[in-house]
Amino acid sequence: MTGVVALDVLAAAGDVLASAGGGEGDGRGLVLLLLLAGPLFAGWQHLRYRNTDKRHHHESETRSQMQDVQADDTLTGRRTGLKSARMQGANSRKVTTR
Amino acid sequence: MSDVHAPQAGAEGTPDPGTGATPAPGFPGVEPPDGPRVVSTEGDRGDGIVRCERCGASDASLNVATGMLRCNFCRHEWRTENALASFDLDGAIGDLRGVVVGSGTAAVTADPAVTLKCTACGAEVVIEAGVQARCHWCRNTLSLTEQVPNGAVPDMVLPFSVTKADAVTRVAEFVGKRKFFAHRQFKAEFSPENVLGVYLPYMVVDVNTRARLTGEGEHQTRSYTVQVRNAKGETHSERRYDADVYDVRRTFDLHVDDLTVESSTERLDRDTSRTSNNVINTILPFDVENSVRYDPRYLQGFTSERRDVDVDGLRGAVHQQVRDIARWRADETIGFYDRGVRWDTTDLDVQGERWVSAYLPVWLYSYLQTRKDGSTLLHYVAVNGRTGETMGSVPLNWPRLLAVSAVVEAVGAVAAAVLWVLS
Ligand SMILES: [Zn+2]
Ligand SMILES: [Zn+2]
Repeated sequence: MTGVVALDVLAAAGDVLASAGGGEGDGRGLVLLLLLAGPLFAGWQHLRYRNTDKRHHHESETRSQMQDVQADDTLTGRRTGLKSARMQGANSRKVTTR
Repeated sequence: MSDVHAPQAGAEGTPDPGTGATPAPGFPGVEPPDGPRVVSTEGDRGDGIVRCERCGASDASLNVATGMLRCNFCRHEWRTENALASFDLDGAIGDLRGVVVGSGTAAVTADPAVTLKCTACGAEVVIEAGVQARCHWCRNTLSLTEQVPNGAVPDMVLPFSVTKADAVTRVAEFVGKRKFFAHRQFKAEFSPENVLGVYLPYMVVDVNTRARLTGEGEHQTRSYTVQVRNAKGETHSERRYDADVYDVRRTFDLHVDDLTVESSTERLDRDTSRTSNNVINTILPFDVENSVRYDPRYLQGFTSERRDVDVDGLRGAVHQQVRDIARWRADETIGFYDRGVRWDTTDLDVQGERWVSAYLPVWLYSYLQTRKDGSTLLHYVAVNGRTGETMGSVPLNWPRLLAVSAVVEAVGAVAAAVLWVLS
């Protein structure tokens, strides 16, 4: 049973690592994950039982209407040679209320 | 409170654009020129005894299966009015100006107890507001139908539609999936049939606002690989990106419908080291538009909690949630910025808001855990009394979890070593 559960947690943690944009080569990332397997497993079960991270998603679950949208965008410059595929500090999907 | 009902011009109780300053007649309390427009949600049944229209008995309660009130003597059933429609609190949100509140949002006072005079025999009966009491002398049931402005009686109530049997099943199922690492004593004492039906106090808010967001966005123009040399002189390829940078501004009207927030200090406490109120928060939203005019008979057989936070105490949190909604909606308009947008400001220009207080139905299973150091942690499994959505907190058997985690760690370490040698 433990092995199956551990595989689950590794799969989940693998997604996390991939989205974090490791880029260091898959081998080293996987080794790191395996070395953290115990704490990852404990943290995952803690959330599954206690659900301390759960809340109502008011930002997406509240009905709302949007009207008369006005956009006013201006080109201010360009950045080259960026290492990350995502903009640094992008926060348009972040919610401030907890 | 949806946009489908347009307010009829001139109808009584229609939001009054521009002034927002006419308090309902006879409503005591705050009446400054710029104060909220108060819509009275008080019933016209001030005598304290509500009788069955068929047999005249004063005892009725909710039949969860039908959502109707049922006379406890002759079994006659009837439906009560939809709250928002009958109080004209469902007009178009875009037409909202100023602050409109239901009279049930009145400031809460310290002493919720009210003395009623029994109209059947004249005896005086003290009644905890929001609840019913039986006259000790003539045994008639007295209901607090007269809305004393102490904030204890809400504007509306959403009756339970999930039965107790259904709630018990859902609680048992939720905990059943979380038995292996559950605390021993919790497991030993677990009895889902102890789930309690509770009406919890909430404020339901409509907001008409203009939202303005400013920030910076990046649009990718090129992606390519480069050869990078490290300190040892070895080269490998890495990905690089070029992007155009824009100042991004979005301005739009936002009509927020039935935003729902807890209105008791206790339930607003989200410190997960003390309580698990966050799981009660998680089972939102409710179909609040189906709420009926407050009638204490819906509470019979259930418990209820009192509101102790006023509109002014919640406005800041509500506006913050509206800002979150504005950001979420603005996301639909920034598809061009494929690398993302960083918002720096989110400003609201609130044109109008409408506040209604409500009792919403929650099935609660609770378990008080006492830790070795004497501190306590209150665990809940909560079931939405309308949708059945279930969330909970199950106390952990830490020794067992740590033991299994150690095994997982050992297996992981061996696998890591094998992988290291192979590569
Ligand atoms: Zn009857
Ligand atoms: Zn009496």
